[in-house]
Amino acid sequence: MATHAAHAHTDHAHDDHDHKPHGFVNRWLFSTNHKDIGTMYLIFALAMFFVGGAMAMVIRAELFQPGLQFVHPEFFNQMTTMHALIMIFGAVMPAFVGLANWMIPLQIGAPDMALPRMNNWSFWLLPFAFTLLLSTLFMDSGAPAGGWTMYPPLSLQMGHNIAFLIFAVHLMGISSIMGAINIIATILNMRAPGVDLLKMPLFTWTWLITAFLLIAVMPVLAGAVTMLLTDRFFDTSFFNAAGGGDPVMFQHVFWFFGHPEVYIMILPAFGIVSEIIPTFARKPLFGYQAMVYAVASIAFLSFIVWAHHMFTVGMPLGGELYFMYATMLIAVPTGVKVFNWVSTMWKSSMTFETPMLFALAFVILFTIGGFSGLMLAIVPVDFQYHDTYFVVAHFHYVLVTGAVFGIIAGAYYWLPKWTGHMYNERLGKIHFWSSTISVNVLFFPQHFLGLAGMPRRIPDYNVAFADFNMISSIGGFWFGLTQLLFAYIVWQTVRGGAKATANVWEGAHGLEWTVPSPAPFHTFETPPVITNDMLAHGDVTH
Amino acid sequence: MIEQRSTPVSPFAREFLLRPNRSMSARGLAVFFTGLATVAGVVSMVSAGQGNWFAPAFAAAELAVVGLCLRLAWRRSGRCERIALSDAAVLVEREPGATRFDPYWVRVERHAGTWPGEAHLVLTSHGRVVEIGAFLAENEREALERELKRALAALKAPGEAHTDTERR
Repeated sequence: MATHAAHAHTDHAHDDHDHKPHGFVNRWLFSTNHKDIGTMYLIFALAMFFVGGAMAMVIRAELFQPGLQFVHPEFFNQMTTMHALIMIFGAVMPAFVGLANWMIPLQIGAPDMALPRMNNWSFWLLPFAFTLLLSTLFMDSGAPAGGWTMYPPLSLQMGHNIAFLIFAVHLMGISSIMGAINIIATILNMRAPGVDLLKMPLFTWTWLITAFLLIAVMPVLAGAVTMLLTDRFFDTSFFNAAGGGDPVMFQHVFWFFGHPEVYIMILPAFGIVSEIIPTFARKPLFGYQAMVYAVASIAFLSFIVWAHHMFTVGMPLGGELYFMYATMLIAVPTGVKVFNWVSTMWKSSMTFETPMLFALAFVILFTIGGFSGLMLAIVPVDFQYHDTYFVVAHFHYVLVTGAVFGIIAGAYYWLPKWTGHMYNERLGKIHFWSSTISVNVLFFPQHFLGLAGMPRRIPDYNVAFADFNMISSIGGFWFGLTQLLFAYIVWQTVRGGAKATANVWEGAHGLEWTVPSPAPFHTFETPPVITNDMLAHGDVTH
Repeated sequence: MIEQRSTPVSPFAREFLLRPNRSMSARGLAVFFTGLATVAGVVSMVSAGQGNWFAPAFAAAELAVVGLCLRLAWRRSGRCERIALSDAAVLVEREPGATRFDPYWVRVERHAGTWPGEAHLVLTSHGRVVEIGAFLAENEREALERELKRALAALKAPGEAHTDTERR
């Protein structure tokens, strides 16, 4: 009692160790706590995942059979465009930022993010950005329908919705930049004594490199969409051939941003998988430093391969050869990563809890996406595959079984740390098997459709493509329904369940596992005293 | 980080400067920012070369914000506590303001925190309690506690402490 009385007089505000702010508005709207902001990011991302997923269901319902069944072609195109924008900017990127918010301070022994108020701002921009974007669905001109890449002249011919799209993209960009600044400032400035750069968890490393990429490429996107805006509303002719502009220039500008963006959406997933596999293999990560350098190499290569997205628009043979070989070069560091994950598992004592199952599926299925990417890198082959369902299959293998599976694996891995409860392992495994089978039923036939010549972004198709489309749609509905089970598992785990210990997983190493589960509202206010064995990669010098 | 030094006021006067850990030096941060600015600058200039005229302007604005934020974060982690011990007073200085204790009554104590194993190092006297070194690691706070107790003992009984020191 005396101690408590004395503490009331202390100058330092340590009287709120686990005392969360009172009231909904104070707790969430004005939040500066990295865990609460991380939670908001993750909930937002999950909500957007279902909004974007609902649009995918419309697409697959329409494609279930040849002919036009449910929606007009114009609305179909709105669905494909909005599905991509929402999944990329609303689901995958916010989910990774949410994971970063939750885990980076815990992994480096920092009490919070370096700039907590900016952290709050970067989150709260997102609901406004997506309200703007989604509001276009209710406009006379409908939502943007020219594809997520916004290629002119098509994107400039669709009413005023483009202004809303561009403003939303600017807001998302500002949000991403602020998130990236915070992550960089936190990792550089706030690592606890003993957490050297080359002892940091791979998830933190991949995010540091991702943040670097984000800051480097966001001005390019901002510039590109601003030029679209001035072309549409201020009579400039950057991309208008009639006014002396060049529509192909937009493609160069867009993909100079777009290709690094692709890696922004996959590098943190590499980090998550690199944390999970050593835990359930009960072995240190094979080639820790090689993994770090491989991620940095992939980030560098992402800047010099953009034109492989546009081989068919016409470019000199030398250019095509250069972009082909540069693109194929990416397979080297990616191969290093896959080799190291497999080597970590070699002769290990593996167990197959849900996070490990998703991580394993990631390694196998992402590699399939990588191989189809290699096929697309070959110029003469790309001339046949370009703008077909083969491309759709490729990027969904990379983004769904890559990025999304990585996020889901991370969610299962850290859910007990966040909630203090173990999730239902049986339901988790059902979720895994159902997701993994259905996602392959959904996307694998799309390779065949593409090879047979079915173009992407069409609501109707030749009857020759009917069977594979029907199979793909069945897989789509199955996969979509399965994700409702994921939402239920998360909800159930938040509500209760077996108590999680601090360490949660037998083979887990790292500072996040030294704090209780659930992680208290404030952690590491006093820097921890760290020994190498406490760190996930503290003893790894190779 | 704890920096300890004598002051010319008296042989037993001491000054402790406490600073939180910064995991990167100012030079390291400057090198990082230069690298980031170079990459972002080159990327935006290449994009400008492709026809993206606005990219360099956006990059400049963005890098200004990045630089400002890194500087802000750096300055925030540079907060300092100064504990000055002299015959006249024990002074704890930090932003904002300072607290003064009588050196003959002030005690160095450990107060339990809200979670198991958590303890705060405080200076206390006449019902006033000031936590010190909240941002230090546990081993650093143990060292600070030891040094403060020794220095206060020397202040309270200069002869004894002097003899002690000579004996050692």
